[in-house]
Amino acid sequence: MSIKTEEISSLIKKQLANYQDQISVEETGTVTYVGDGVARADGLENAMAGELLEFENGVYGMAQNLESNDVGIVILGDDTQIREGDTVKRTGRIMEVPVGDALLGRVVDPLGRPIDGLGDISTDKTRPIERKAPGVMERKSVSQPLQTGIKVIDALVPIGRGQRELIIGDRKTGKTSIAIDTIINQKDQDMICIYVAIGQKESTVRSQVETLRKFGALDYTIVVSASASNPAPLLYIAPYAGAAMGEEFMFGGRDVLIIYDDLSKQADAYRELSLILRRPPGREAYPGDIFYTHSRLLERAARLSDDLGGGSMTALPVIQTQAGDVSAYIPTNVISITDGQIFLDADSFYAGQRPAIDAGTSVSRVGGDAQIKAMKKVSGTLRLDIASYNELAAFAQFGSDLDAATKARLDRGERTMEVLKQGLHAPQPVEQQVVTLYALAHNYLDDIPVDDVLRFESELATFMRSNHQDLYDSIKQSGQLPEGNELDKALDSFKEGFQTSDQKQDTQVAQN
Amino acid sequence: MSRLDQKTVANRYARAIFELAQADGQLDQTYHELVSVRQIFSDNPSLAPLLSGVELGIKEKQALVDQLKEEASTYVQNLLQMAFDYRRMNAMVAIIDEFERRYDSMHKRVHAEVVTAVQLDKVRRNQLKDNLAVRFDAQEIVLNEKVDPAILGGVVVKTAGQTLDGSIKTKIEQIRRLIVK
Repeated sequence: MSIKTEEISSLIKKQLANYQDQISVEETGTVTYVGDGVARADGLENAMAGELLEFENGVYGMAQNLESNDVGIVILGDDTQIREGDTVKRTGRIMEVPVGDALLGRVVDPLGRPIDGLGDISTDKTRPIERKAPGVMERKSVSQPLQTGIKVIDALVPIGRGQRELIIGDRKTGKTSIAIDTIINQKDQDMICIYVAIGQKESTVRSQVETLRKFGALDYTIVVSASASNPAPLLYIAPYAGAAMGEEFMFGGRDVLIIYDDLSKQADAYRELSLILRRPPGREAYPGDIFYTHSRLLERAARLSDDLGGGSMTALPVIQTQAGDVSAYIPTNVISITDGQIFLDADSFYAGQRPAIDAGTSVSRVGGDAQIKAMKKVSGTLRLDIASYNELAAFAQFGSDLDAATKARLDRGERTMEVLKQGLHAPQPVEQQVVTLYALAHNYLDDIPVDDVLRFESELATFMRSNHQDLYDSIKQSGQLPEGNELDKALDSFKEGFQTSDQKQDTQVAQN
Repeated sequence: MSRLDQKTVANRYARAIFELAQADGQLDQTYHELVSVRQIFSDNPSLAPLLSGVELGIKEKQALVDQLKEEASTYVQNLLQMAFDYRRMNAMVAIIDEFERRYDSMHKRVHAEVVTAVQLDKVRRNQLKDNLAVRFDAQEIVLNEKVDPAILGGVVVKTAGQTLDGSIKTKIEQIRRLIVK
């Protein structure tokens, strides 16, 4: 093969003739103040609110305050290299993050840069981090369940796809565990999960990632982490970045679960920014638009109409309370925005009732429509049972002489509470939950000692899976309880073979 | 945030003297006098801090101000005295800058700082001026030339709010970033 020299050189000549030296024309300003993650700059007269600005050393900033004399800029990176007198230039873009399938299984920072050391993320799609939430006509009502795999949640506070359900409680009451378990339970459910860690310790995030990896949940999960060591602006934008990544899948017709862990830290970061930007402080020194900060974020969770592909984004924001005080500013705000809350109680957590969900104050405003029929049937009286048990239990501590009816209700309540206990990272499929709760509701547990209830439950599940898988399948597929008394028969035959711990001991003694 | 205040202050003082001088048709004279006052301030960096500081007594400061005022016209004299009385001497340079900005925009004149690697010759300078005049839609371009071998080649033009960067240094930097990426 011969190289056609003439052809090539004529091509090059043509290209050279068209080559024009491009000089960069940029609108610039001068930094007049820098400190605490915030800079102010003179000039930049045409800058837009929220516009991305670039400092001399390549660090980006976001225009926040446009004032008569200068622009307040939050610095999205290291501010120690920026000096007074440096130039800042406009980029004409608003803040964007990379989105797409390539992010799955990765740990990224709020700007979409990988921080898991697994190399570049090859995607050319980006989305602006701030986007107006879908409007009225773009939505449809929540109708499909999102199974968390946690009995007490799926039975009492069911969550639907596209819902926003708040997880709220004191520190160390298992808020994050609920979130992580929910992600683990989405395996093979065709669900994309996004876990946004805001202001957490790097070591905690690392161990969450390892947990997800161990249970094979990382393959369908994106972890966005703005840890405690990141500057406040990154903590502030982290949930919006996560939401943008989720929207890409939602508008592609997929179902997305996004967890903001936690929004109290984001509110704190935003308060810090706002105070340094000299915005007037309001209640608890939060700025005036702290409500909008959270409402515009949570409104982006939606169940899209069929015209838009019918995708959904379910949001589980997490809020930390101080000493169980839900009437503080941020908790009340977020409670009012979300479609219900899961309230975790420190006292019952330490009493061993885990997950420590307070059945009285936890509600789901829209999830009931999404619950499967079978679950609705078996969990119908659960909330009342628990309420009356709690009432009686407090009362029964004083008296000793209880009539038979009260004693029965107490016994039932004790077993109910026992059944609702569940181990860490052990989510259960919905059919298994239904059968367990069916056994409880139909008095199969009443003569089992409380200590044996959990063993009864797990052995029942093994028994059902090996002998009556068809019943499980029919509940799963139809969403209804099996017709006739097949389930009763199965439970009867299991109970015949079940030995309580006392009986076991007796047989052992007899053998010896 | 004294910086911010200074800007607001400069704006108010500059506007007052500008409008006054304009009404009396003494704009050009006032402008030239103010430019030389600014020259004095920039030639004597210790002047502004001395006038606004506490090292000197009020009489000694007044003597300095009187010297500044000596040759000036009434308006400039009054401005200097007033700025001194109201302890705004540290904003004097900012006031004059702001006055100049107003004067420039009235005459469609643009001040540009030009950085080149080698000294501009006459032909190039005029070419640059003409081109910039078209780009900024100005009648007159006042160049403030600087030579900085560090930019290697090309030219960087800085005006208030805009930077035209055609330097070799920036190009190399861009290429470097591209390769690193």
